[in-house]
Amino acid sequence: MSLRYTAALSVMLGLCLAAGQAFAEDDARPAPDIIQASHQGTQPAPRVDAQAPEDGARPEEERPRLFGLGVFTRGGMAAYRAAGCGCVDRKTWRAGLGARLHVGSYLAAEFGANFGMMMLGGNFPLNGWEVAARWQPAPHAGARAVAGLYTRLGYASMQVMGMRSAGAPGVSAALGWSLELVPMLSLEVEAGAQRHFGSMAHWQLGGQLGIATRF
Amino acid sequence: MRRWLVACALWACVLAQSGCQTGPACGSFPLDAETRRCMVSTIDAMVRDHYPFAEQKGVDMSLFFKGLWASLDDAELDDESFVLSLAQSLAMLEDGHTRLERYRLEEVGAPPVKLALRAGQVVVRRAAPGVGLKPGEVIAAIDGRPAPPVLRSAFASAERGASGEVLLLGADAALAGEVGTDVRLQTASGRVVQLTRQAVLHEPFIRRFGDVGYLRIKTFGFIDDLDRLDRLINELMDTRGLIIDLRDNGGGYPSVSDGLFGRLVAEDGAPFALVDRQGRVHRHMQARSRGETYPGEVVVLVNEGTFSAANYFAHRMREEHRGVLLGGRTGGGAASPDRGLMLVDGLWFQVSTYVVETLSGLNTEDGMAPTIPLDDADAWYEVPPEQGALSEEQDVMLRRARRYLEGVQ
Repeated sequence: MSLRYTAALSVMLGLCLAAGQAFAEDDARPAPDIIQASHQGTQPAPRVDAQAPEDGARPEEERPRLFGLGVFTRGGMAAYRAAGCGCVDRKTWRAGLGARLHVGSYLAAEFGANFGMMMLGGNFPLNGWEVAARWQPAPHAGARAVAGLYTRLGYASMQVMGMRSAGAPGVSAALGWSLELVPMLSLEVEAGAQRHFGSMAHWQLGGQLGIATRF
Repeated sequence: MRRWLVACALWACVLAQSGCQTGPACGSFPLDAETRRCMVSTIDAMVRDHYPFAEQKGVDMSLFFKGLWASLDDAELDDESFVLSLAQSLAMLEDGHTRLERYRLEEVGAPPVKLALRAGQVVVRRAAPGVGLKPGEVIAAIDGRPAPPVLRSAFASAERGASGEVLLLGADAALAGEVGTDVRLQTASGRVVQLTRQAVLHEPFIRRFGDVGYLRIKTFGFIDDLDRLDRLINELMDTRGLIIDLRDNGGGYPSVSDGLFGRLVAEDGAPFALVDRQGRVHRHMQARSRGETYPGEVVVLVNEGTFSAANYFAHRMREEHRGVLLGGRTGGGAASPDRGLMLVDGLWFQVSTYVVETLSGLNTEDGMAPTIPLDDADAWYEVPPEQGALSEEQDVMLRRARRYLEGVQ
């Protein structure tokens, strides 16, 4: 079994354990649709507060959770502008997987790894990773379009097969929109830019499409 | 609960797919009988299906297949000798791209001497000053092994670095090894010379000789060297003429050589065709104009070590009438090895699949004569840039190129 395969299985196992943990916590709470219905007032709220603490604190399901875990996959294409010649002479496509740690309703930290190709006459396999902060400025806005907007800033690294240098470090920024398809599953579309430094100094400008879950 | 299970299964599929990779075709070292048979039959099948030069090079294919299978006859051969015998069989194909490649984890280097196989003998082609060898001297043994078979097998071998780049090939592969280790050469007169392997594939660099620029490119084998070349060309934009030194450049990625060519022309170059052995065009290779175009005259230094992508670059320069080629005949080797696989762990095999042809149908495999041939093209030994300044006095071709660009024919 290859090292990559072992690593992939380890990540998968970790995600499943995290999901299972979150699920176990969820089992102690009322179903989300009951909460939603009660918030909308479309039907009498069930007596979900039967086990509410006697000290008068709000029930757990009504408090926003401070931390949450999510995973995402996304991919897309970008135009590649080499700094050396000042010309857009190649393209990249990439697809990746990552995990996201939500901190409150607005912020999240995420880490993702990606694989893809740099197209320059032939196809050159590339891989990279990105660690970023994600900010969704208006998650509770009434308008769905506004609620889904987010921005991301991060540090990225890219390695192309056949490089003399170890890699190309860089920074990344993206502006995107997240659409909740069903509870816990969102479609994300974003436009972004990456600036890499070093021997392969360049800009990448492109878009990505992704799917994200939040446990 | 079902939702979580479905989510976990979905992510498991995605992660497992991204983590999977195919293993070697035949197994790993040490090589047992079954693995060796698999290696031979795999090479047999790939050469039968793709090798395009049998007619052009007049190769007796039945003799080749006989020799290939004969590698299995001696079951007592150690692994190293078995791989050597495979390489010797492949050398019969006289194709520098149909070869075995070793993946090394360490930095690969070579001693400061260049060898060649001439009339069945291994001779010194060039040697750095002070190493105790002279051009033309006959070498009888390399590390105790008879030199001719070692060199013959090296023609169908290459050494790759840890990240997959081709480091040394051809005759250089016969002397390749980890940087800092020694190699022993025994001359025909019985003298033994011990040399230390040095790093050889330095980054491209530039020099200025008045208003003439000099760009040394040792290899096209690193994709990020294209960006380095761009920056170096930018620094030389104000020069009147440019010398591009491709001597002993063993090639690499055509994308890099095409990228460099793109900086020399204001319009896209004519497409070259990749043609299979049935004569069908597989696809075209484009060299598009990129960035700011270098406006001055260009001289390209070439020799018999100008191989593969470097040879392809030289052909492009001639097809587009963009510059003058000066030196010796190029080494050729412009096939595209699109079929390859990891035979056993750490040993890659590839076979030429397509032949590169110019727009006018010229087959580039056999190399080309320079515009200005120089008889003493080999009277030169490169001093790595970190070890000393470039010397025009000891480099006839460089001196000649500079004089050409300064208008002295």
